[in-house]
Amino acid sequence: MTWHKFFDLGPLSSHPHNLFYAYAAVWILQGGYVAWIAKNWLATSKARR
Amino acid sequence: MQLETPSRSVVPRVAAAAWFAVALVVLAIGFRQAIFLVPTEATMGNVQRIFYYHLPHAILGMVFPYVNCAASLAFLYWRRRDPWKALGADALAVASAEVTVIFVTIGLLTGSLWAKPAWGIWWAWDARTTTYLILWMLYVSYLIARKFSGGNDEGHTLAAVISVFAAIDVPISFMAIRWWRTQHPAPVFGGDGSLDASFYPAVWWNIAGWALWGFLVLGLRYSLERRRQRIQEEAALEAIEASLEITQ
Amino acid sequence: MNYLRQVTRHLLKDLQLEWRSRDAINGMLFFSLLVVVVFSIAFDPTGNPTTTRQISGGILWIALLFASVTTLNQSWAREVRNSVLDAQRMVPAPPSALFLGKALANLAFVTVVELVIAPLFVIFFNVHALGNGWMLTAIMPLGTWALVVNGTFFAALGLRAKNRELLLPLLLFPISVPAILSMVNATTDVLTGDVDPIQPYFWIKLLAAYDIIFTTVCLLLFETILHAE
Repeated sequence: MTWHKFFDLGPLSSHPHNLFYAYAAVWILQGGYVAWIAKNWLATSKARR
Repeated sequence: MQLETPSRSVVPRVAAAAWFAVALVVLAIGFRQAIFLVPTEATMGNVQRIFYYHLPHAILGMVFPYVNCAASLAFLYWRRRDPWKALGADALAVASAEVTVIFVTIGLLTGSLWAKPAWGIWWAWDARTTTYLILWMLYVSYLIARKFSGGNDEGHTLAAVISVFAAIDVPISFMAIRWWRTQHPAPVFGGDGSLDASFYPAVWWNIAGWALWGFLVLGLRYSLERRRQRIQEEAALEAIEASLEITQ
Repeated sequence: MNYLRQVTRHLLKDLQLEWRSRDAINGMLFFSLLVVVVFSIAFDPTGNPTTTRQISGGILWIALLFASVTTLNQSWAREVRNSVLDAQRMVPAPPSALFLGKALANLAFVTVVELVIAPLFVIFFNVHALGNGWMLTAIMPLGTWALVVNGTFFAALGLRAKNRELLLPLLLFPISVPAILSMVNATTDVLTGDVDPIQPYFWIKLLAAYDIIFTTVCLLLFETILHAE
């Protein structure tokens, strides 16, 4: 498998590209949660001072 | 009570940063293995590679509930004995519940994206999927109940009790759903027990990577909750001191 | 035996209070009747007798589940009025006796509702058991207890939370999934009678195990709930 094939989305109805959607969803959710923690961390820093 | 001043020590921060770097490196290796190096599966083609991200999340989604249960039991034990330790256990409980929900959500989502090309349907009510849905519901309802019952000690106690109920419920619903599904025809699906050895590198690197990531996120969320608790305690202490000054 | 007397005392008190007002039973009766009628409008019971037979077990339990949720919240509201619950906290009797009495009273109320609703089911949906009908005498009490014991516990847990009317179903439904699965499947198996007659036994056993486990957990943890703050 190549990068080209990984990002080649094609029409939405073709399921081979579910691979890309799955990997993207994982990183969006995990990254989003870490970003949310970071945001709250900074907010508590501000509350402290 | 003498509260320690917020730790300015750099050791935890450096450790967290190092852990983060290691997790990212392992995940990068896992990604490379899963996408480029491991041979393409014969019947499913490239879509089968979803499995390498799906499996670690599904496994870890079953691990964090135990952390949640253990932390809740520790909270109930320390509640009357050592309030500050009890608060720590509560912070671990809320962190592990949130991480559980994240991992199980991803497990369900990637499973669904895999099911469509594999079985032709997004959602088959088979034993494993249904069990994970129940698991997801239990911990979402735990988090909602936490929110409803307020952030005080009473709310923490109620949440800990709910967590014990949830932990007991998981194996029972697992058995019930197994029996339910073996009685009715279910879509036939390949057992992932029989995995060819050539796929192992992708599986193991990804399990290791996501475990490192998961426990790091758990630690970060825990320290965030701890930080909030410390700020609250300080504010309460200052309020008490201020009220003492007025009465003098 | 002392414990038993305390449980009976709590149970009799609740039964007496209910006998005076009959709010809970009347409310549940009418509510479950409404659910049954709404379901029979949603699909055509006379046109599809086979489908009706297959799903009427599920409808019966859904009606009872919804009806009992409406009442369980109220069962503790009584104790909150005039600070009765604060008095209960101070009595030397074990808190689990209070819980057990309350749960048994709720079991009695829901059982009365079942006794009225079951004949209505036979009339409206034209069902009768094709399997071993007597098995229902085991399934109904076990299933009702599974709903009531956890329901009573979570209603007490949600007493001081905001949105407690919403909190009860939110907690009760996911926890009850194994119980609902067993009671609905057992009832459906008995009603349709087209599976081998041993099969309902599995579900009854599972339901009994669920009842025993969660009754124990509720009794152990009720004191924590009562003295939560």
